Amino acid sequence: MSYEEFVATALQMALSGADASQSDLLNMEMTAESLVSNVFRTVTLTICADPDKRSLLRRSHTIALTSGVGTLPTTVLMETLPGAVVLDPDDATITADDMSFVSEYQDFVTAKGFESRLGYWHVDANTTTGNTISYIRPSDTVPTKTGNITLITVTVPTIPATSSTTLDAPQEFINLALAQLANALRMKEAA
Amino acid sequence: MGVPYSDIVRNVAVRINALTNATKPAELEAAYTISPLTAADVQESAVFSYTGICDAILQAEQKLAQTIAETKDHAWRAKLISQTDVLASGDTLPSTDENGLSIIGVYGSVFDATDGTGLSEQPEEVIRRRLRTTAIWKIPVYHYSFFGDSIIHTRTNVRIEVCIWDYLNQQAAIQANDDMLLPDVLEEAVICGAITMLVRDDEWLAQGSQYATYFTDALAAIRSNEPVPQRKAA
Repeated sequence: MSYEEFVATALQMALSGADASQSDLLNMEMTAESLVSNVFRTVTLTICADPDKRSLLRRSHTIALTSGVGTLPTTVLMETLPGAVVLDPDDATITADDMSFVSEYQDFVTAKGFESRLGYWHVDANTTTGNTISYIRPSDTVPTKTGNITLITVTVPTIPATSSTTLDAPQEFINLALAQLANALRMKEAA
Repeated sequence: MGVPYSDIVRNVAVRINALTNATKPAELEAAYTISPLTAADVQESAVFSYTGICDAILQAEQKLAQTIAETKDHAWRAKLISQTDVLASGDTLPSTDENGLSIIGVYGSVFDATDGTGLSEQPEEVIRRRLRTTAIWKIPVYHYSFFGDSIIHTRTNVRIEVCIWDYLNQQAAIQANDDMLLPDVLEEAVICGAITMLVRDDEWLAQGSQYATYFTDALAAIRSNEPVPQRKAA
């Protein structure tokens, strides 16, 4: 399903039960498109909250680090990080169990003082350059790595670049997103 | 199958006693059925000439065409239809069609000049929002708004369906005995409208007034998008 087909289907669903010749929902393409970002985010969090469905949207992200700090992709939501996994492709001995996500910055900088055998990672929100990820290897005491890490987490599907581009998302996500967008257009639920 | 203008000319001419050599009943049918009529066949009236009759017919047709053109979505606009040149967003609305002929009546549908898709009217605020933030929108929309004397829209170029009626073109059509421009059912209205105008000094006033009533009824019916009434027998 292309992006335009997705929006058109949601619009038609929103018209369900209405008189199409008199409905305010005609010509709502711009409104629908403006709601897509929030709809995708909401549906992603709904799926993330269901352990049976989480794997539908789990994706791997290669993040380039400079001195232990890199930029998080914009499709990764802060709410999904507690269940995320960080792997180091340059060191196969580091497993997911060796790495721990620390949400609070104060805890992150003092974590090595409590358990020095583990590695830690932390995310800071940065509205200017995008959220940043800081990574301390089990063998380090502070962020030092320059190279790549792999972040595996539930990810928001990308909004296509053009109207004819196919949505890169599983059908379950698309179905939920269609219903969410249609309801948002009818203003039955906040997007 | 259309109605040639010569039929209208003879209908008008016979009612004002203008057919040449038609003073006797036996001559009347022969004079009436001449087709096409020329100036030589319409010389009995000392009040109205052949050209004067043709001009009255054109003026009646002009009034009917204007009324049709002013009635949005009227089916008979198809007889007068044309389109404007391509218009970019912000262009001034034209007064002539793509061939330079004067536009009459109200504007019709707006459509994309490239793919022919019809545009739908939207508030100017919506279109302005779209035009000022083009980079963030991916789904194509087909919206337009008439803003003052201009048109703004969300496409590259559009055209507008319009109605035209050109006096010189129609004058040539009568001279060439083409079929009448308007639908055949308006033949009676054109005849009545022409006779309405064929009054001079105090001659033909009563007859003109009788035909004027029907012609006015026909114009009103067109404006209301209702069937044109038929003239009742006197």
